[in-house]
Amino acid sequence: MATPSTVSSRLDRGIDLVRSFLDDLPDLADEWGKLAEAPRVSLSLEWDHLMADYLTELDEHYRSGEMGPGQIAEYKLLLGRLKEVLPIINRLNLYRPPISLDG
Amino acid sequence: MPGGTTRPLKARVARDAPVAAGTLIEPEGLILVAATQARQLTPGELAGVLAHVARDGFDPARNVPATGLSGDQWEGQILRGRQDFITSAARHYLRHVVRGQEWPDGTTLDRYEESIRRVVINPRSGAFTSRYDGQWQLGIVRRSGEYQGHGGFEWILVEYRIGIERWVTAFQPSEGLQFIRSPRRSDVRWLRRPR
Repeated sequence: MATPSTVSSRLDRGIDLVRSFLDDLPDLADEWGKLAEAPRVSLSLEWDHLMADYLTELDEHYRSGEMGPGQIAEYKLLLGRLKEVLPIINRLNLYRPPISLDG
Repeated sequence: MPGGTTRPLKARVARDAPVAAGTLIEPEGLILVAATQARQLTPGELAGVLAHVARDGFDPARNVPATGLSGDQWEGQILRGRQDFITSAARHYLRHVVRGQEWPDGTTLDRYEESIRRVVINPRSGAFTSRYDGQWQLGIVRRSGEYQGHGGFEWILVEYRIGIERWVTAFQPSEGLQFIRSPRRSDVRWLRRPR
């Protein structure tokens, strides 16, 4: 059974994973066309995983009130970053965030 | 094959033997047969395809940027994100096992790759074909079970790409398998449902 600390750690990890990829996404987008097929596909699939699984789970916990104040602040920053990179997401035809970005 | 990147498929007896261009590799040919609905594969054919896929593994080229992995340590060095290039196996291991903890604590790279092979050949795993970024891929899914770590999800997915003839990913998607809804993916067809 998941304890509150286990859930909290999981949410921290999810926020970190999405944020880490977002931090590199603008520069990665500039070099997207230079990537070989295999790494380009792998990174696209990883993005799919982040959006479909990690972001969805974060949003569920956010909407249900299960995030701590610090996590809420970080999650809202994440939503803001996702809004900023929507043009990149659209340009690269990546998996769109399947949740509302209006925190 | 319509759309996207395609490569001539080359038959071979051994992995690196020289071959005549344009001849289909039997396992990849069968995946195409199934993907394009030319006919259904027999259980024996599917088992043979999966055994082939299990053997191929990740691409060993060191050509994958360490995007999102800044600060992680690999082979004695601290990675600088996209400025560093690592192998596909290393990237997936660092991302999904070390950082993501999707696999249990203490899982080594070898154990991670072995778990992938086990998922691929497990007769209870589901298998589907789809077109991703214009090229056919074979996906295999199984409940994560004993392979689910603190950060893991309910399933394990492995995807194999025609033309590259390698695994292109292995991670743990959540219930519902929503990753399939990527706009880069189309023509999903189940060859065998997971049991």
